[in-house]
Amino acid sequence: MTRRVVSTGRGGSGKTTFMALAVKCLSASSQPLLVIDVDSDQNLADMLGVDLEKEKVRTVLDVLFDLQKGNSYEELKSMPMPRKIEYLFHSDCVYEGRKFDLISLGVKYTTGCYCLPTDLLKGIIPRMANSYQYMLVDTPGGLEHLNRKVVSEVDDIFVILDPSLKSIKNVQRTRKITRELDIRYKNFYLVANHKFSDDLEEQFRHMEGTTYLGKIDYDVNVEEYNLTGRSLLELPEDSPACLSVARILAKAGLGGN
Amino acid sequence: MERIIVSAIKGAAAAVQLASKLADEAIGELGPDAPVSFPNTAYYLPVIYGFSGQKVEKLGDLTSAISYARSLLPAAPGEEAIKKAGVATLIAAEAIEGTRFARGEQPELRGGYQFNGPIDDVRLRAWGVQLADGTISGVAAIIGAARSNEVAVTIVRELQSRGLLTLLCGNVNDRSIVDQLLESGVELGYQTLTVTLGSDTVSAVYALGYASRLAFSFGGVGAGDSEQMLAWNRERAPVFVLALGEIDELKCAAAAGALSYGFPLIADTPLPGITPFGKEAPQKIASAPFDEIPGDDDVQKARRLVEYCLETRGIKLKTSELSLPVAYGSAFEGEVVRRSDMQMEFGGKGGTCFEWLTTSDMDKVQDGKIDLVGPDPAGFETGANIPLGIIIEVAGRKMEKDFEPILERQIHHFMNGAEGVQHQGQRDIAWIRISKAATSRGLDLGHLGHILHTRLHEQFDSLVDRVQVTFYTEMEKVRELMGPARQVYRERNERTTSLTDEGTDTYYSCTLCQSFAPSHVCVINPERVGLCGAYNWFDCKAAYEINPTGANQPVPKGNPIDPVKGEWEGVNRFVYEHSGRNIERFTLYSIMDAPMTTCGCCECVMAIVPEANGFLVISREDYGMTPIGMTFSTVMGVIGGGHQTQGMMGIGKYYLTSPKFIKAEGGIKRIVWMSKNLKEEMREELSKVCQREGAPNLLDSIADGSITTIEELVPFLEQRHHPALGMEPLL
Repeated sequence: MTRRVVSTGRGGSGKTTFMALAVKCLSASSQPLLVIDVDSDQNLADMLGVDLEKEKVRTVLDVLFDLQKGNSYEELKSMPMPRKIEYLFHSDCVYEGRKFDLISLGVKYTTGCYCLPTDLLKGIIPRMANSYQYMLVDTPGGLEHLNRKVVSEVDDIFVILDPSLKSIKNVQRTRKITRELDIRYKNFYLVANHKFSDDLEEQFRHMEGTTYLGKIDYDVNVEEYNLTGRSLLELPEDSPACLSVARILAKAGLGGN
Repeated sequence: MERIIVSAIKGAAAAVQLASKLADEAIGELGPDAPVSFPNTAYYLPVIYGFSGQKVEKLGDLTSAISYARSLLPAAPGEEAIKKAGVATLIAAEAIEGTRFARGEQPELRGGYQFNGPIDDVRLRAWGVQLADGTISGVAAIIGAARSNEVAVTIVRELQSRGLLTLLCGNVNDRSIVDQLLESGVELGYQTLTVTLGSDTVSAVYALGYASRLAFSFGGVGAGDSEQMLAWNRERAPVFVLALGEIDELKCAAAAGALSYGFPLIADTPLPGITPFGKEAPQKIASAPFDEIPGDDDVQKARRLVEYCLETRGIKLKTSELSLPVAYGSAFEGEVVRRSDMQMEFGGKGGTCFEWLTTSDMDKVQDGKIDLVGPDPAGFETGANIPLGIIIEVAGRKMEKDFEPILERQIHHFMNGAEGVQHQGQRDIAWIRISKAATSRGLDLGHLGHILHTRLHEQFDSLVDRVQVTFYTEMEKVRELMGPARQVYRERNERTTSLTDEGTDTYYSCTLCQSFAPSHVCVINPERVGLCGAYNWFDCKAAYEINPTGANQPVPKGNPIDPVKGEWEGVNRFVYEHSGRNIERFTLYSIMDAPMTTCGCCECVMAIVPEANGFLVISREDYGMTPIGMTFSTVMGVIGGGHQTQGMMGIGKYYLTSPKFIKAEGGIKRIVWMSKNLKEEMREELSKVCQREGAPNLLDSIADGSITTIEELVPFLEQRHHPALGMEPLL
């Protein structure tokens, strides 16, 4: 069965970094991995050293936007809409790498309607995920965009915390949203970022309905790589951030075989 | 038999007792007004609704339903007793699931796996046509657990490859067949026609609820009309129950419930008083003790067991002559082949691949000839993208140019049926992947040719006498042949858009759904697609050629009665005769005067909004409320099953783009509200229609799901000067 993992957190908490390191860690076992970037910043691909533009991979919203406007795709005209979209999704929106495949949802466009894409993704993404060992979804803070139609059933939610009291509120809000959107999960994990003090960690250890898994250690390399745009996949195996993410994932029963 | 009946009676009594206890507890905790419903389904709690006509909407309603079940409990065994015990059990089981839903405990979550629970309405309707035309050949409800994971997988794979819808529930000693399939990595879900109901026996009631809803949706059966509902199912629903492992009293009681629907029980264990492998058909209760099934190993035995089940229910399959090194069936259609799993690829991004089906003279086509011109893909490195041209030449006395695209369109389904083959696109953007696993089992292009040859013969046997397939794998040759193919694609496009109703004297009927909705007739003309969206005029024409006595018959238009409403003498005569003299006349371009009837599988329904002087269009994928205070399912409850209702009708969504779309009432300008998903999905096509109809801004003045009341709708339309407001009054 596919293990479905979601990471979320406030802006700047380091959730995308965590996700990139999780990809590095889990792809080491060469089990098939599907990475989905739902965050409108879309820098997960960069952190993984993938230049989507160069790879001629488009975001899902890009493709759907064109389709709605009636742009191009003359040769698809005679196909029924669902098949048309499935075709374009697979041909234009999937980056297929050696270690993982990646899909980027894209930035929201002017008309602001997410209904169509989410409705279509609802069918396509879960089906696609079935062919992978892991599905990793990076979502913006608060889970608003983890529409239940994109992924309504997940195994693990990882909330990456930054050292502020707002984080506590964010955790509560995230749990509330999962209920409201009817997102079902098995595990609700908390992970502290490197700025956490020991005292602050204590506050998160026993929050109701959550499991605290530990802290990502400070890693000078991560900062440098992110600054220079170098792929986090190239980090040395023994760098502190990698080791701590591997440890955290192992506690959640992920990877390690 | 006597012992089985006694067990069933005991099981029924226990079920009613449990239901009563759970309902009382839930009422105590949540109050009698806590809502009870199965999500995304119509007809309340459908089993209760079918047997008693009661609309259960809140916990308090369950009390009288359970009392009714209790009143059915028989005291002594007998023919009537087993029926009553069965019905009582089903009502109790449904009441139990109702309380679980009220508590938020359903659909069941077990060991992190989310069961599906009740089958939703969109599925029910979308599968309607497939059940009617035999694409889905039957429904297997499996309860319990197989003796090993291997046996579980074999049974399910066997059912999948024979096109059955499989519903899974129950357990033996807390081990469920669903656990076994999950452990074995079998893909479960609507896509693979393998649906999980729940891990206990009680959840089997969802299967019977599904059957009841089929009778309401397609058979036009009314609330509480249990005799009709059961008769409809006995005659029309090809369902059986397969019990794996030990049968306890509750299972016995549930099976008794299924028996009253005419669904036989087959057990893989010995049953008291039942001769194993009884041959006299139709049987109600059959036993096929697993150990006694002939076969060298468990896999063979499992296969035989499935065959025995099909024979017992009398399910006849469209047998396929395919001989392949991989599995084949519609359950594999949604399968994705990842790049890293892929042995070879044709077409796709940066690749070249086309498929072209063309008619040839009889003497130029050699049936069954499958050729490869160019290098063998087996010689390419793993993961290679290989150019490919597929030319299928067919010959047959009844074959026509117009049928070519219909046959060609099936390539997608034919190829996707093979395990490890992914087909996307069509024509010159065809894209095919073959997995490493399939290749290592020996699957090659020759097999794809074999699939095309065999399936074309099967599906179009009276059209094609000979089929020959040639694969070209040399880039130069592929490019050269693509030129004439593209010319043909262009001609086809022009032909389909240019054919009008005026251009033909013959329309076609579609009575495919009469096996489900006995008084419904579709009349399909070039400018109006069938309301299920699956059949257009060309399809019907081809289907008639294939099977002249089938469900699609030519309808001579005859003299026009009213060209604006689209009424013809010939059409009326046909409809009158073929609706069992229920419908005297109907029009093809009007919704207000004698509109076409509706079976149950329509893509959209339309209904009048008197306050807005127009109509709304609800997509079957839209579960939400609409400004007329009715959902898709409620409207369908009014018109489904072959009823003619002024101001309401079912349509295929592409009818919206036709110049003949409710021409009598003024066409697309009458649309004041539309389901959001439909509006978004068809934006491109609808924009063009609005242009054509001289109202370029119309689409933006049509409201959608964000407006759900009349009070909001009318000001919305006024603000945007919606043309319907100024049109001739509808009423």
